[in-house]
Amino acid sequence: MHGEEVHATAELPTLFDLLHRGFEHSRLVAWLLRWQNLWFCLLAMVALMVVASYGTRRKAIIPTRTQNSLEFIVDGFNQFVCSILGPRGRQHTPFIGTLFLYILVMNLMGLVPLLKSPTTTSAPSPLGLPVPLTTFPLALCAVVYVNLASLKAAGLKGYVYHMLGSPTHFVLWLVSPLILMIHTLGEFSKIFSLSMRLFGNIFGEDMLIAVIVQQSTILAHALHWPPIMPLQLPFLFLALLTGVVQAFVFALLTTIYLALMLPHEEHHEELSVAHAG
Amino acid sequence: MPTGAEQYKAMLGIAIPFMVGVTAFGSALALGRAVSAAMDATARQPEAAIKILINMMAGCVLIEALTIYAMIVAFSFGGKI
Repeated sequence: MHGEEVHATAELPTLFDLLHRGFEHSRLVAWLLRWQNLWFCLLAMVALMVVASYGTRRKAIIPTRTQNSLEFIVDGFNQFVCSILGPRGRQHTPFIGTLFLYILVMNLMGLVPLLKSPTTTSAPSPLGLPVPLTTFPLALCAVVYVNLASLKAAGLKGYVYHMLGSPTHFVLWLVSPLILMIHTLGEFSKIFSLSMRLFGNIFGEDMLIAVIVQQSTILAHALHWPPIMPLQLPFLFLALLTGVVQAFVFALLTTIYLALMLPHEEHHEELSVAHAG
Repeated sequence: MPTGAEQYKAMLGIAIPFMVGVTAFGSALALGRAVSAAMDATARQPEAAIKILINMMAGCVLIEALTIYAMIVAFSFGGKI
């Protein structure tokens, strides 16, 4: 702790960092350290799967304990998605709910002492901005899913018609190539903004905590007592809030993009009412 | 006068904190307006407070994202100093 340089981008040591410092010359540990973000992603997935399989083991009609809390979460999320998408949102709840839970667990892993949240990993790119290694695939999955769902719901003709801006008037047909370009750029900017928002928020919070831990260790060493000062405690609560809010907002934005891209269904309800009446 | 390399670092050293400050200023103004509107709406109809809070959170996250972009640029270009 005393001999380390003070970086602007500090990071708390993870389990694999400590293992690497303990076993310097082991190639297995070096390989484990190199892919540590992958192991943490797998840990999040396995944890979610274990909790889900434990909760659905008995499938009682009147649920108790784990099954009850899981049903509370799933039903609450289903209500939220259906309040934006309407009753046809039920088929999209699994994907959006999985996104939310997975991102939530990954964000919260950064607060556990020896773990690191995989949403904070990034690689430097030649353009200057860092490429977030975990949130970019997540955003890509979300936007590709939205486009595929819209393709499936509206058909190829309906999808292209929507991308051209749904032209009804002759003038709108003239500007439709421009609108096609704008929509395509909009899809790419959705990917960029989703990934950068999640990455920036969680990375900023985790780095804030790491820098405060670094400063408090320097301060504790200078003051000689107390030996440990957990000055990062209020920021842990802030990181808890940010993690939950960012996961929720990722899912919320995916739902809103779905609501915008899927074909509007009000005519079907009016037609069925007209046929029944 | 400093040489080329020092000039570039000096310019970055002035420009990057200035950029983050200006972005934070604009974001604070926008967030203040959003939260103020949410407060007015909650005062009019206190039973809708949670719905208004959720919508306000969503709006604040979208506004804050622009400041986060500025922070990311600051970290990546600040690393080049």
